[in-house]
Amino acid sequence: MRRGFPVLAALALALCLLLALSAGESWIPPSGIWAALARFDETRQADVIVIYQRLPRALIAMLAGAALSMSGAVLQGVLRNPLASPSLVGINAGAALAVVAGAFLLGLEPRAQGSAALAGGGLGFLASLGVARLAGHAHDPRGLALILSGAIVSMFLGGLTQALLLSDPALRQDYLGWLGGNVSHVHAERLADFWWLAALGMAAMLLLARRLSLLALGAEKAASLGIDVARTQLLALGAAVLASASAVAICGPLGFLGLVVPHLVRPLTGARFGALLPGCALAGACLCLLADLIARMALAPLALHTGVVLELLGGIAFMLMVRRFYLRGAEA
Amino acid sequence: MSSRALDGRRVLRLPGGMQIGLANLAAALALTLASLGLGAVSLSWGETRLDLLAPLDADQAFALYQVRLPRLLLGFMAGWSVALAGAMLQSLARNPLADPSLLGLSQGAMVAIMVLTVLAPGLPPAWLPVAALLGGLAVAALLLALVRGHAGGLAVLLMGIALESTLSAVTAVLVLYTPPETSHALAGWMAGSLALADWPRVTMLAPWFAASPIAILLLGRALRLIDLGAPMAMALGLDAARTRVAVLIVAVLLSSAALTAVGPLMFLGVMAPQLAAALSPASGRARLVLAALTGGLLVTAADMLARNAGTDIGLPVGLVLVTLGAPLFVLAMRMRLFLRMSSS
Amino acid sequence: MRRLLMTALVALAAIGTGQAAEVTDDTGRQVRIPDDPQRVVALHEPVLAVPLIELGVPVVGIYGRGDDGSSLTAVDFLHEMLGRSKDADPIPGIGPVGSINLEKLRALRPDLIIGTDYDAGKAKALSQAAPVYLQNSSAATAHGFSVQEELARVLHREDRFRELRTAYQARLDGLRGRFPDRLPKAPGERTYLIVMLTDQANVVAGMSGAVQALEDLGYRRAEIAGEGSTRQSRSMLILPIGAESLAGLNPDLLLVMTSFAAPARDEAAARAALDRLSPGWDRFMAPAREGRVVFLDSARVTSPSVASAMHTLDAVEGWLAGRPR
Repeated sequence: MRRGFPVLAALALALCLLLALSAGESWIPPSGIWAALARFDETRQADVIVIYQRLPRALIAMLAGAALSMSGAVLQGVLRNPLASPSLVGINAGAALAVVAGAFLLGLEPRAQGSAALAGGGLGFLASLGVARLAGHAHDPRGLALILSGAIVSMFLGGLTQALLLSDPALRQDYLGWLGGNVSHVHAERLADFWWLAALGMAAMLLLARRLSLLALGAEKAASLGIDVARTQLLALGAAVLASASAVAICGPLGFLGLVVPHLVRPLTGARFGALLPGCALAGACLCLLADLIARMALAPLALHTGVVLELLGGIAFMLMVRRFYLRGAEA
Repeated sequence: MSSRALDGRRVLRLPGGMQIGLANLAAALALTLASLGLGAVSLSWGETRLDLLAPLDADQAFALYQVRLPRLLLGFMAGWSVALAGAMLQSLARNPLADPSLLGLSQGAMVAIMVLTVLAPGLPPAWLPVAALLGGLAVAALLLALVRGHAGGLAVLLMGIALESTLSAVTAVLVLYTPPETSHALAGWMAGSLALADWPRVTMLAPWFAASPIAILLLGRALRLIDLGAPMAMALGLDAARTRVAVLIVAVLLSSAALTAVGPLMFLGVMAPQLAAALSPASGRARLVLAALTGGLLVTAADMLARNAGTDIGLPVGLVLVTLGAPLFVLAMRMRLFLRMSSS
Repeated sequence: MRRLLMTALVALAAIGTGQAAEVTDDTGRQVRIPDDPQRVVALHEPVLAVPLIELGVPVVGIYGRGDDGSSLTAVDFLHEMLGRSKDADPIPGIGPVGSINLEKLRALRPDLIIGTDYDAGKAKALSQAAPVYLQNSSAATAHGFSVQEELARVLHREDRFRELRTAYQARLDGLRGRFPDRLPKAPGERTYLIVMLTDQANVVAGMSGAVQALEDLGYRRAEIAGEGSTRQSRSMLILPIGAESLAGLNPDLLLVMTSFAAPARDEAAARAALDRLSPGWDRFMAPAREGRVVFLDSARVTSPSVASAMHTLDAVEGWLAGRPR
């Protein structure tokens, strides 16, 4: 099972991608997709739909899914907290606030919003860590304080974002949808601007995989094996923030994936980061494509935001995980 | 540990709850006069003193009796209720970060109100409090059902956050499917506003406010025991499960009533008890009263600022509260940490 | 006791000396409103203030404007829809967006406040300044410019409304006379659909001068597959639809506009928005291919007023005259 997982996951991703390109208002068979990719003809409607609508949308979904899931795995590992994920430790909310504040207050061009998102995501995360420390649970073994302070910080940052939105009805129109986590081909330019940032973050996480696995054995053991613990942790967290903040800059905050995907993948790949991280990337991309498909098809022709679908799924998954990790534990 | 904690208090010259209570009252009085005096229609110091000295013209009387006084009362009562609910939930969860909006109780009420506003815009407003109450209670019941049989407060808290995020998604869908002008109005309300404070709203919230001392009297001792730890509480003959349900219901009632009157006052339920505790480490009933008092004062002060900020964008009181409150909150946490560290 | 007395005085002062009559508003409230109100405050600019001012009702305050009379939303609807000069006497607002300032409201000395059914929650508080009349405005209960017609009846401006309507009817007849073959012959013979573009496509329903004009021209609203005909979906002013569904829409007449909050609202802006949402729309969408697309300015056609209906007729006439096909 463990050996076969990467192959299976890659196959599943290919299938999901094919489905995402084929399904929609009109069904486009694989041959049509091949034709569109190989010999693009802009007078054929199917080609235009595949190339300009479904493909950008699928790429955004895959990139965001992979980036957020990998970040979740790294956060959970480094913070030793099964509930850590970009949406629960203030990264998503911080990045979202920074993008909106950049656009509303500083008039930042979309291109500059990527760096704003990065700074905001980092600040949101630091704020969550800070409040957790202040709350006096720095040594809380189950890492609860961080999740709580993440929720508080997210609430605070979300409130500020709402205030900014209220201040400018014209811009509000542009950002209301994006804030709900809108995977859409209209954000293709954002994808073109920021994909490399997310890729950079993911690459850094993969490079750190071996050291992260050693770190999981315990800080002392890792140090005895010649790992610079503090530096590795810092780099890994930085990479996780980079990847998830750039995903937020592209399509707005998406929940669920960073929290759940690592838990789904871990039993299949084992806890070693060298296998876990690629597995998370593939599975996260798959799940995000499927959620996007649901968002497109569930109420068609009415549109639903992908972020909302993920948020709903994520809330339910979150409840199940609380039962699994904390309620069982309380019984024991 | 406790003797060193006392040392810390002495260093800060905070000799206990009484003085803090008095200081709070003095602050309340000053705030009252200031907030009655400031606004679009100007009132002089003498005129503010309830027109004993100078006769008011109709505009001034309107501003004083129909706008500022109900606003002041409503803000104070809402702040009091939310802070009290927060303080109770914190005892229940044995965690200083518990809050009605963090546990999804406010979101439940909000979803209920939004569904009514969006789907049945013509419905008489009298139904809204009922809907809010039912929504909050439904979430509380769900919460208890989900953590059934588990004593740990942490579980309740985490499950609450999970419920909160699910309900937020529902809210997001509802906002998306709302016409722009309504969604704008809803967004204003969702940020917490005292702009439409009037006597009917005051009288709507007043009974809950008036009943809250009874809750403090009845539950204060039990909460203090819970503060000491579940085994201790049980040893002292406390029915923990029943107490928990009672506290949760009281918290829902208080926070839903406040929510209907002024919209959600996020963060206040965490902030006020924290500030109160930083100023005076009381316990039991005194802790609840101080927390509630601090909550009321915070909202009054935030509203006065919001009302006189003179911007084109209405600064809803909830946002002023959050923006000003966050640094205070951090400061309070810092201070408690300092006390704790100096005591260990 | 003193407070009660004050309230009574305030109420008396607000009603003033003119004649007044008891009416039931659209939410079932009994309101005593003056026969000939002289100082009206409107709680919504496009939905209420525009039709009221067109009827000649003296409006002294509009929610959504600043103290100096400048518009706090993205658009000056009075200027766009009624051509009211930006230098004309400013009509001030009643406090910042999101929080009505009762003290400012009262300082305007209104003798009547008109809101929509969405303002039901505010009615009690606002009644302290003047009687509050609530007008139905959701798409489920109001249609075309029926809001303006009802307001004319309540405020005894039927004569003025008849005048407006006569001019509008003449305009309609003129159009039918000029283009007898290109407009529907019988009512409901052909279909229309209005789409507003933001970062997604939204089908606009119900209540506006645009809907009135199109249906008077003989068009009926096209059904969207799967939308259902429940009262529920009909009562929504705006339904977001998927980008691919947008490309598949095929009403006899497709009307497209950008949001009134958009930086530009002309044809070029609408075309750019379509390019972004549905690349290749001009080749693949049947209405676009066959020249059945009309571009509207959302800041002009979305109020329930004769003025908005006239602006819609202008746009349709431009289409009929400009691109013969």
